[in-house]
Amino acid sequence: MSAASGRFAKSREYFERAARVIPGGIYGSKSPGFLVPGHFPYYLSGARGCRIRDVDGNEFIDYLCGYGSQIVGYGNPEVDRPALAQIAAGDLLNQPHPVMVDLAERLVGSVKGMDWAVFSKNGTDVTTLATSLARAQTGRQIVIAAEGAYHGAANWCSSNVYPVFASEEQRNVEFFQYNDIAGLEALFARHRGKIACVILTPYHHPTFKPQQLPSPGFFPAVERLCAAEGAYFIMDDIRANYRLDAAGSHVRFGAHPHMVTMGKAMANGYPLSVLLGSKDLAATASGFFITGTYWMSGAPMLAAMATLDEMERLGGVPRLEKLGGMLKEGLESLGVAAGFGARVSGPLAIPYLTFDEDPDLYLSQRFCAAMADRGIFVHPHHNWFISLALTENDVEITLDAARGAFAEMADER
Amino acid sequence: MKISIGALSGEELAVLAGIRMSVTAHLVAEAAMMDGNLAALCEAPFALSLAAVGVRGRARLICGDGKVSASFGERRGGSSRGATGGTLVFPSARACARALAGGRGMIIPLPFGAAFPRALRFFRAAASRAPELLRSPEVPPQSKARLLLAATVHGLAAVAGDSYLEKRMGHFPDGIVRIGAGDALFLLEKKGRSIRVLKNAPVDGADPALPWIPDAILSFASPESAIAVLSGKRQAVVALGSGEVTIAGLLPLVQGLFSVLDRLSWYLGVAIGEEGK
Repeated sequence: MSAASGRFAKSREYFERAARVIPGGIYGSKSPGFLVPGHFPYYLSGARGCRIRDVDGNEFIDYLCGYGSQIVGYGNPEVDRPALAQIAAGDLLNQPHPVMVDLAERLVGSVKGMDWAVFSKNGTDVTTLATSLARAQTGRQIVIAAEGAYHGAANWCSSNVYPVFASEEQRNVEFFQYNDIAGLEALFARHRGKIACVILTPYHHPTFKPQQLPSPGFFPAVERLCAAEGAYFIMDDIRANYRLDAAGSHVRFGAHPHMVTMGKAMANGYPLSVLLGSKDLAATASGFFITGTYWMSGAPMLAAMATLDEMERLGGVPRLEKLGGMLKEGLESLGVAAGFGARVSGPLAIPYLTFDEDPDLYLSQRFCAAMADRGIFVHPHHNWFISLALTENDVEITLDAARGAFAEMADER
Repeated sequence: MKISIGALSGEELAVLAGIRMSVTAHLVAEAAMMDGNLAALCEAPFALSLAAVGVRGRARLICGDGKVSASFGERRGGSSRGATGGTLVFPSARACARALAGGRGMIIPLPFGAAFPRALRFFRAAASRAPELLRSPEVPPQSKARLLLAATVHGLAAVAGDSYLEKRMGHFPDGIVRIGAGDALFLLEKKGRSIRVLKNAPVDGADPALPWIPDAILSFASPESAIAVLSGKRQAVVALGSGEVTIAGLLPLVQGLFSVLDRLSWYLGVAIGEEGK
């Protein structure tokens, strides 16, 4: 444990208590072991703009953005005002708030190729619904996904690999390497007549690995194979949505999916996700029993409407890419100057730093720990996110910290 | 909910027997290095095997030059240098699992030469001494941690072939993990569906001027932390959060091993005396 761990005394106290009553203390992707214990807080108490504050009073410039859900800044008043007003007026009602119609119209009008919208809360809800609709429509079982892609925490797609799931829900999911057209063709050939859908992220963002953009021929090949087989193409845009293209990340890469899942940044942290679909799936979607107690609450939808406005007002994707480009260029040049093969992969608005010489991520862990010691929250194993609350000055502060972090690492070699 | 040995399938019984044989043999070998009375029983060479009908692997203890080494597997491990001894055969996996967990179970001794009585005397003494060493307040924490780590890593290697873990083993990356507390260090190599304990860091042809680094590291901050976690008194996840355990490098490899450890704990928690209930 580093000397820095004294900074997180309250976090550790909460964690000790949590471990007695909550499985794992903090479960899933927020568990301490996913970061670098001793250098990162376990519990946060608040945030404003691009800065987060932990229970011990430490402040960080944040590049995780609530795992991507913050895009116009924590506590953005333009987003919070209508949402909080609705909470005060009554949020979860017996019937939907009319904003549901406004938001559906807006998304159908803006996300390219989509004709209807169904709202829920989490990414898992809509990825599972999308694959279920494809199965119902085609009468086929097989779902094809890319190895290492994350599509949620449901049994069919999660890392909970137990025999009881492997023999049922997971048995009908086949994997290939993202961008490997020959591998995908082989799967289609092997399961001819049995494939319901292919679910893909707009670009590959596995944990623990550099990010990978789609090769130019990849999506056309996916679409050709799906068309020949009568299978559906689902674009899981939960993580990337609104950071690549306001009309959907598929537009950025010239893809034409039948369904698109969105969430996270769409409502700037208010719980909301959406499944968008094309006309030929509308009848099946209409007949499908789709429900969840909280799925139609109004405040998150009002927040989404305001977030869409606010993203546009703050400069949208071009502004995110300008800040992300500044960060990428700075980190790579500082890393190389210090003697490291630092490489920022992925889209400019969703960067991730790895080191060419270190596939096991020791250097990433060391770098992110050193950055956290300097008040910058960057994740060693998960891609980062740029928000519109970030300023050039914040990026400069980040690069100053990186200069110190790289120097510290160079000294240790 | 504790499972009874009577509820295990044939395959599970064989896995449990393999775990018990491997863990026992390696604990016995470690105990011999720590205890003067046991060391005195190792002055002359001997070889002793543990085998069970229906279990493919066997455990081997080889004593030579005053040292005892242990191995477990289908192939012969180590060199007996002509030492005689024998084999303790359990008539079934169930009998093996029960006997090596401290319960009743028939054992058939098969002597191979004059060293058998010596080998048997050593095994009986060491098998009962190892648990005492873990309990004794006189034994330094570092020694206890080493015993527990040895039991854990060899248990992991023995349980890895369990078909329950087949999908799981394929779901996390291959690589070498260094597990340790202080100077008690072990290297575990996960490759496909198997785990083995390495004696030394592999020579991979990389630049010899560079230090060899495992793919991942799991370290206990102190022997006490290792004892608390490995004996089940402290949750690993809590120890991780409090800094008593640190992990670094290829984390999915370590996390995958945690799931194998869960399965090992499941086997070691099987109740041996509740058959027929």
